[in-house]
Amino acid sequence: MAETFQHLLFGFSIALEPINLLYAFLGCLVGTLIGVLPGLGPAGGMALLIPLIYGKSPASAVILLAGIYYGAMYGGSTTSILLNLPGEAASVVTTLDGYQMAKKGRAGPALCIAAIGSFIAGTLSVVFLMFIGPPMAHFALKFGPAESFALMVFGLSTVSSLAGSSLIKGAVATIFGLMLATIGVDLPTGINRYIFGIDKLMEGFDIIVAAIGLFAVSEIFMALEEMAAGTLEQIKVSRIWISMHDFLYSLGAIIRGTLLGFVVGAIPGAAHVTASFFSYSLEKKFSKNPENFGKGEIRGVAGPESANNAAACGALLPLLTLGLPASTVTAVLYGALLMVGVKPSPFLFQKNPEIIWGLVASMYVGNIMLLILNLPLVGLFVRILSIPARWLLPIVLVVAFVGVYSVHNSALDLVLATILGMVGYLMRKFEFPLAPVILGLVLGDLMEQSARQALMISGGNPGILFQSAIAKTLFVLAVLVIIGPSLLQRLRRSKPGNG
Amino acid sequence: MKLGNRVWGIILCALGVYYLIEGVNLPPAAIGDPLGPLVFPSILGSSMVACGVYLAIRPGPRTDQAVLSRRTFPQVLILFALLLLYAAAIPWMGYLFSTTIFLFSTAFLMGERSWAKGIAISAVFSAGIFFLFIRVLTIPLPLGLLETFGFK
Repeated sequence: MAETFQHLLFGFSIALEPINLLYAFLGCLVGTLIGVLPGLGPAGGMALLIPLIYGKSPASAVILLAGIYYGAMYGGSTTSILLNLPGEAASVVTTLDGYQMAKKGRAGPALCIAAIGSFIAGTLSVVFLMFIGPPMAHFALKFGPAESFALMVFGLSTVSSLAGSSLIKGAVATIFGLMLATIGVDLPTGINRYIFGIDKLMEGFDIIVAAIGLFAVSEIFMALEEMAAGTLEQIKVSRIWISMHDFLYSLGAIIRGTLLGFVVGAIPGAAHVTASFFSYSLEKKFSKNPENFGKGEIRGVAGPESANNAAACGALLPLLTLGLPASTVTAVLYGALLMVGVKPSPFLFQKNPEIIWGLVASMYVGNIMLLILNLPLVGLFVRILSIPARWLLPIVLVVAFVGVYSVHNSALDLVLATILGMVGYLMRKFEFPLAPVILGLVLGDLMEQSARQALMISGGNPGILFQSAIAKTLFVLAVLVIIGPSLLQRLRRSKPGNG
Repeated sequence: MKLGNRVWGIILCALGVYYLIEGVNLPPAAIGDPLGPLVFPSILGSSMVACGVYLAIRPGPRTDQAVLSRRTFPQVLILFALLLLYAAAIPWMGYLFSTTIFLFSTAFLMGERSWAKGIAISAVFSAGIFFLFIRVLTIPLPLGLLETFGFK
């Protein structure tokens, strides 16, 4: 314990060097910008800015890139809340209640709770990273294909909380998402599936293209229609800051989201997107008023946003403790470390303590910086909503198109996003929920691949999927998520005077 | 236009069947890959058909409200077409010009009536965004006509 504390002091002595403070600040600033820009996620943004780290000391390079990383995770929520435009895949969940809050004039509190939640999640997960990091990393390594498959099945079970009035329509939306996930080259065999003769589709259907199409573009179709019918109302902003009551009400969701996000983030392959979906589902399933979700429930913003940021931190675990990049973002970080002459390995802690502890300390610094940077911006961002809709909506489309284009540098993605915009519009009109499509698209690929890998290992015996304790637990949890809330309700009812 | 769940059931069935047919030529399981690339899509296609059949048989309560209005839906279609044109124009015309034209026409569709104001805002905004993304953040957006004019 005392030793960790000493290391941390050493880390702070590095992170608080003026030059490193400057890098942390620059990283956070650029990261926030990248996060606000739809399409360009943290991985893409970091890769774009790698040239900046040439000739810097390894510690400074890592601090700069990590700043971009969590700045981008932070910034992604802004456009989701204000414009229903998910800045990156993980903020899709934030749109569900965040945008509804904005529509009701509560954009300020939504942005505030996203910033505060991210701050608490970021700070807590650095503490986790320091103290339970190494044992957690070994737990995460136990996730083989069978466990991954179980995790994905568990993920699918959360659909029951995303589906609106009709479960069957939720199922249709999920299957549609899973179908989109099968588009592209099938990795184990190299065979193209469902590319309809279009070579560009081999790369697969990118989540962000689907998210922007389904959520943002369709939202603008809806708004145009309301405009034509004369029913579109200018969003009013009632208050910028969050009330103490809202904060205390969301605190539980923030803590739960943090724990969940950190664990999921550390598991190789499971993206932060999954973490935010899990958190949303958890909050809704065990809320006393689940019917408020999807209509501007602040916990529906606080939980997923915290989970998202904690997952970003959790994802660093396998890289720092074992030298394994377990996600696209950490793979970029891995490459950057190699570039500045550091070989990530399980011995990084002994060989280059200045990098690890400098990074850990810089995360504390970065979190505070982000909060200072973002809270004052809330007022500015909220003012975006007062731009007349006839200009705001076209501008959103134009900016969204930059994001979509930058995913694969392909105009085909623009066409796909437009078509999905129409699909999303029709789905809304006929009351099909949109979020399950994204969930299906996120989980589909990993679900199929991990099932196949597991069966390759077992030589075709499906028993392998249910063998390990982790997998069994996850399957049980999946069942609980579906039937749990009704059980809970029955329990509450049987105890009179208790809710 | 009224479209009940029954009609959607049939559409979804068709989608499922089409998906299954499109996947029928995928190779089945092979040695070392017991599931193969076909099993997962087959499950998806069949489940979609099942959901479609369910919706067609038990469509639930029917809403009398017209969902797609004859007055507003054409506008949505116009924007849809504009977006497709914009997507097609970006590669050859370049981001700067196509964005200016798109912003202008969409704002007009949405009710802007002043030509001068429309052109000014579109041009200034496109130039600003072009500078920020292409020059500062170095996102490789197509230059299109600008390149033909010798701009780099």
